[in-house]
Amino acid sequence: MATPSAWADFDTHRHNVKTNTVDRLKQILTGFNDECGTNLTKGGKKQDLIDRITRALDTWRATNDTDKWTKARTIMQQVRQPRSYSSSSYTGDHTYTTSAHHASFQPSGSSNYSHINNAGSSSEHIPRYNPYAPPRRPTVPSTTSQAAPAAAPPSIRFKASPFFRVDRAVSSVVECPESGSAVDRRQQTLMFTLSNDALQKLSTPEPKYQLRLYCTSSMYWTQSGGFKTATMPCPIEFPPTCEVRVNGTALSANLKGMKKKPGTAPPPDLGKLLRTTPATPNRIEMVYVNSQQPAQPKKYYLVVMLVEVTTVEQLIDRLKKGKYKSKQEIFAKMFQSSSEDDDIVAGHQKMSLKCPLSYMRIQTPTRSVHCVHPQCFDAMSWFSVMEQTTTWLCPVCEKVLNPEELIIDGYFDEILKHTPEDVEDVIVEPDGDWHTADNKHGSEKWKAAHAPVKPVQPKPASPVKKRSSTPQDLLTNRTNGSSQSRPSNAEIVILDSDDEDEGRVKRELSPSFDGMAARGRSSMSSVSQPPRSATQSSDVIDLTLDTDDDEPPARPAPAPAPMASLSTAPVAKRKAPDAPSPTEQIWKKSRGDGPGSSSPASGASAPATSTGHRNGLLPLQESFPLPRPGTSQAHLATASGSTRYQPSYSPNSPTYPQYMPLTPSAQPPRRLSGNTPRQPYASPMDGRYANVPHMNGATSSSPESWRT
Amino acid sequence: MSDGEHQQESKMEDANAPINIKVLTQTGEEVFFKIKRNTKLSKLQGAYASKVGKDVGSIRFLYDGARINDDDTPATLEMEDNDTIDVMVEQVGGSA
Repeated sequence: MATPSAWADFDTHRHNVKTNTVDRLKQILTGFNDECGTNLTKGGKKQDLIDRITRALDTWRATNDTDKWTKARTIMQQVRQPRSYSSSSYTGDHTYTTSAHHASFQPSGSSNYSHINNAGSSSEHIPRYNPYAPPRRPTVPSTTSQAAPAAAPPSIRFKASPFFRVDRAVSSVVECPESGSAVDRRQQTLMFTLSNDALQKLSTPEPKYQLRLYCTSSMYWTQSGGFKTATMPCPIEFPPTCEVRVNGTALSANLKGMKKKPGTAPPPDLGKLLRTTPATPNRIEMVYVNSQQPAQPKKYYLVVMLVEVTTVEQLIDRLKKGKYKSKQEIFAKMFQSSSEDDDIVAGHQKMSLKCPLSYMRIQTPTRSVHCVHPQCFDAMSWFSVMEQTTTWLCPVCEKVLNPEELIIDGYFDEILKHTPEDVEDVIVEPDGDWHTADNKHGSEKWKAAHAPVKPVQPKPASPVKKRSSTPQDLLTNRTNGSSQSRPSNAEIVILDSDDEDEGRVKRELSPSFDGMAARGRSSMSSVSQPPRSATQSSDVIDLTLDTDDDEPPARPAPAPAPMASLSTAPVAKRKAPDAPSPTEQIWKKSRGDGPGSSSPASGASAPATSTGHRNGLLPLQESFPLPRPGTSQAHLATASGSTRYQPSYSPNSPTYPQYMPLTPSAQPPRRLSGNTPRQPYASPMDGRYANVPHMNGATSSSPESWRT
Repeated sequence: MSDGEHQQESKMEDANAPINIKVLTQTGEEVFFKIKRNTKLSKLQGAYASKVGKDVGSIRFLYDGARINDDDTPATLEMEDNDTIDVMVEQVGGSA
């Protein structure tokens, strides 16, 4: 090629680069990389792609690299008219490699092909082809039935699936022309007859064979061989709006999978709709429009494949037999991956024993070898989901998994074997030890080192804490809520939770609550003091103590008693039971309301009380020096401090919904509570619980004022 | 200078004591980290992301409801021991 002429249209081509779509630009880059020895990436914005291409062109121009330029020009032309431009040697090469590549899919030769039928039938439909479509190469559909067998049509290599192993194509590939818009209705027909061999396979129970309809688009495959064809297996992509009829009956299978994500649906089973008698033609029709916005004209290619089916159960079996990784292997990998960094050290981690897909306890703990997380999913759930929606995503880290790389995690399996069904999650220590939150179950080493009650970590775990904390929790919580809904009352509550720790220690020391109670009482008496001074045992305080003395006479009947079981605080018994009922009503009533609304609701629920209540409270409030905002703050603090005992609380008090997550995340105290999820604001819920304790608190502090 | 630095150092050491931070996802999974108060939280983000096998860009970290920036440290955010960082899924889109 003479140099001057070769470069004659350089500027035109260079200028036209930017008129390509991103997809075409990427194809150009791929082409450059394949043909011209460049190593350009395909990532980035459109302008980046354009720049990369023009830079490459400029380089060749500058070095007068005619050879590369010629190739590049061919590529650019090719990309622009992928179908019409077919005469270049470039395309020829690709066609060659392509068909060679796919030859493996027709191991038994073309004799099984019901090719003649098919070619004949599809040629009937040629007149329906879009007259405006670019001219096609004389490929299968348009060749005469005599000529066809000679040039065996390239089959399409589809992405492998663990469920289906393609045995061979039983039809030829039929091209479905582009539909221009949502009203441009198109139809294509595929005819095929089954060979005796195929029929015989279909009738055997084991291994199981099926006929499935595959379809991909010109984005991934072209009959002339595009850039992508040679390298990438094609995902299954049906037109976005289409209907497939098999011998006149519509196929009900989901063809599309996820919107705009080709390859997320399995190939539909043609199953019972086919005629499985020898030499009977089967007819598949696909009617489709292009409903995609913006309309992206694509051709589609249909082919029927004979596939060997593997069921989910078989896959799990295979996994169990071949891919079981022992605990030691898992460990080796786990420690290897933990890099040493002085600044930051990973601590323990909560791991769920439930499958993230099914939310049922995992039976076969599975993940990919490449997954770095210890969390597994259940093989049965995953395969069942993937059978329907073939995304192959890990439900934990959301990476695409290769089913071949799945393993069964022996470590996780051991945890499952050593915990009863009702354990939902365990804590995994960085050294590989594991245990449940209450330390009832754990690895040998952990059990040896830790008594069932674990004082070290601020967990809801220890039974002692559980008992003692419950009533008080409740109360504080309510108190807190009330402070918001009814500021006047609020002040009473103000307990400084700073000394939470101290409180905890004490509680731990003495499971029975009485000592605390006494303390609390004394502290309570000084209600009028500002919150700071209002004492250490704040959270503990109120509830239990006041209970006896001062219940307002008109209180509603006690609710059945979750609390009754709290043996530790005998005093509380009496009072505590009545607490639930108003609260619960409030809960129901004020659901969704703001905190402010909850207090009226509570009043309604216990009308008799409410008046006495208010009267009683007002004086108290007056005696309180604190400004409101400060107070509510303090309340929040208390409540959140107490929340940490919530989890243990909920099990024995069915009446109370688990409101643990609703706890406000107020200021410092929250930080003390290791396990409580926090929220940036006090939730309305707290308001609901608010009133009761609060009244109690009030009463206890100044019973006299109450009654008046 | 050495004197000043030394002083600075000792002061830093005090302020740089490691604290425990809980990273909590929306689904309730928890991972704990021990981190020095002057270590950038971006490091924690990276460590967390690699621990759970996610891309840092695909998740966002919130402390007290506000997004954590790359140069924030526990010290600048005034974090305390056993504080919680929330992890959310990064969502893109929504604008035309």
